[in-house]
Amino acid sequence: MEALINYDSKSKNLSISSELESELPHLKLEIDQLNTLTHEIIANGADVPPVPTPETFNKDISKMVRKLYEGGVQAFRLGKFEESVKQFNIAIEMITRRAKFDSFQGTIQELSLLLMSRADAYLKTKEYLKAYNDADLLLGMMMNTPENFLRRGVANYFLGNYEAARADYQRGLSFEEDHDRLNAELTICLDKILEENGDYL
Amino acid sequence: MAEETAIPEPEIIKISVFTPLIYVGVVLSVFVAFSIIYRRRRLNTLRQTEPLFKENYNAILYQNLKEQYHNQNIPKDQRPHEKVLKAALLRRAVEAIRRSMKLKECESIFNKLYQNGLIGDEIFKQYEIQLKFQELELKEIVQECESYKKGWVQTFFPVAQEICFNEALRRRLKAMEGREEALAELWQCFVEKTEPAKPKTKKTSPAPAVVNEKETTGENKASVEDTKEEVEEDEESDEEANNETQKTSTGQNKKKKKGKGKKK
Repeated sequence: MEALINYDSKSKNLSISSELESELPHLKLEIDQLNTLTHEIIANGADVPPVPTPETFNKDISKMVRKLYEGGVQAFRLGKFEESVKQFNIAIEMITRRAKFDSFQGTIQELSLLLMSRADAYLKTKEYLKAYNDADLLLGMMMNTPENFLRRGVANYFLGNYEAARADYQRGLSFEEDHDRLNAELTICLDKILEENGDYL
Repeated sequence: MAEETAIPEPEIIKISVFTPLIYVGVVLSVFVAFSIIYRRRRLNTLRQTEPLFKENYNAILYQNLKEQYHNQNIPKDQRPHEKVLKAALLRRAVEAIRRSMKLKECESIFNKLYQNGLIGDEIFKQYEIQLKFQELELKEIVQECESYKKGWVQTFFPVAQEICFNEALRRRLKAMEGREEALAELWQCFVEKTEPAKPKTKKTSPAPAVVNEKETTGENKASVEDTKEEVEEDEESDEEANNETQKTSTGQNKKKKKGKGKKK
């Protein structure tokens, strides 16, 4: 395998033969990741990558992300939900293009905000699967937020997964017992479950 | 009587000076042979044990690049740049951190399963070997790191950890793309119910109990302070709209069955 890994001194990229690429897709992935990291380190200019702190966080990207987010919120406000989804998508794409050694905490804060907004926009455009996906990822990142349970619950409800929706609402309520919206949605969901079971009076 | 009491002289066996030396030599050679065979067998069993993780391509890549870097036969301009090596070492450390964290996560599970007899000695040994191997891998990375720049270790591992977390997050985001289709297939019947019925739902089915901007703003408070005010303005207009939709749709159910669901 050693002889099959090529190094291009001009671009400073590593590559493997196309045969090996198809044979070992994981190796190809690792090489791509390594090339990305190399370019990021070179672009950084420092001898070694700096320690990630809020000060070293790339603020230019943050500004662009903020602008896109604001654009998305504006579009949402005007009822242009597809447009707002597009804006949030671009912003998320920008976040994924940050340097790998950028502060994780800063990245996750930006991302969670955008995912929340995008999940809401998806719910408005009735793309419930996508909304479910976003809400699910959000719950993976911050479990103790009742609003995220509400998002996933609503998506589940409209996907016809009423039991899952009920579980989501109840879990959300375990974090905030008096959450009006969760309580209201839970009542609706329980009614729906009764209706589905033929117990509706 | 005198004849009876005569003690026979003990027969002295004459042995060579080399005899004890030969004895010690034989014992030692047997011991050495045993040790070599025992070690070889142990090494073979270690080699035969199946690793818990897949092949570590990052470590292989780093070794390969390092060999190229120190190879005098390759012209200097064709040898890998030092930053490529540093990046490769960082990625090797990222993989080591990821594996160590996975092993640490599973530690209590392995112990519990082994204590309850749910996994055999072989698997537990496999786990222990992997644990030891990861320790050695980390030690080697520290040594390698010091060879590039003295004192880099202090900042090396925090950076590697951050890369590890960022990559994990990106992996999850990437996984979301395909997941949507998989979920659609899994819940096909439900998707068929909701998706094509889009235009109908507006008229007949309950209006979407979409999370209004109130919730969005609620979370914005925690994360981005600046946008808080803006979205709060939206809140009022959107809340009205949502309340109306709820009244018209899901509210119908409520009127009939308010509180009934809760009892259950």
